[in-house]
Amino acid sequence: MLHTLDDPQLDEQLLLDQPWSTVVWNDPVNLMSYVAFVFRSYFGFDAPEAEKLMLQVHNEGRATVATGPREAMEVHVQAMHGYGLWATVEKVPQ
Amino acid sequence: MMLWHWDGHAFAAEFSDIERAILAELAGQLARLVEDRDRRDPAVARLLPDAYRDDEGSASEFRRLTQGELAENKIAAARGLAVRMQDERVRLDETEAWNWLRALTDLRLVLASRLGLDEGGGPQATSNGSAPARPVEATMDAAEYDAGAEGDEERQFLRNAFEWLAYVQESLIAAMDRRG
Repeated sequence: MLHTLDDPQLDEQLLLDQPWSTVVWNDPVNLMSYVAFVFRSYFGFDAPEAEKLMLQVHNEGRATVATGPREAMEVHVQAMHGYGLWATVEKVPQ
Repeated sequence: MMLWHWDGHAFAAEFSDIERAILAELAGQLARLVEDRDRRDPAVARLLPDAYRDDEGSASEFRRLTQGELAENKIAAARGLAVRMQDERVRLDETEAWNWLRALTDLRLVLASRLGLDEGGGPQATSNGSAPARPVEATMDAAEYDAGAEGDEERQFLRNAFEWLAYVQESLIAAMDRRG
């Protein structure tokens, strides 16, 4: 079952175990279709979820696209840089 | 008319002589830019960005471990695209198509940086959005895009290339998406 990232119950549980996140930042250059396509292809999000996260990046300037161990987040961030997306590893606020 | 389509075996498109010359030239410049890896150049900094905000130690360690591979992949994608411009008809498998999407993205990021079209994004974004555009001539020098052309003409050329690359990329994404 797919949870959305703003599901409060899921968030609380995730944050306890997985204190790191992959944040994708807005840039005015990358095509919206491309960003959503990368989210679908790399993270395996379905089209509506990828679209939602892409719009969050676009409208709010950033979106958390993954949480988990630091090493895993670094792998994601390197992959995003490979796609030309602007991403950082962040510690989830406790 | 669509540029890219699935021909039953590959993603296919045809490019005119002038389009091939421009794409090969820009992709070659992109590869050299990443090879030189001058991080004082804002375009290079955008292609190889920091993985950590406000933590230079972690950012520098991440750079040390991963930047060589990231740069090599970008150079290979740019060179791969340039090589394909020797023929007017281009056919790509899925992996090659993704490498094209990456190279087209990197080309647009560099052009946007040169043209000052990249303000307002990223972790360092400021809220007022009033940062002045960088002087065009100075940024052209950084990119070796100053082939003796008049500044305005050069800028218009880069602007047109920037828009056209978006069309090439959007069309390829649509073809890949249709195929599913």
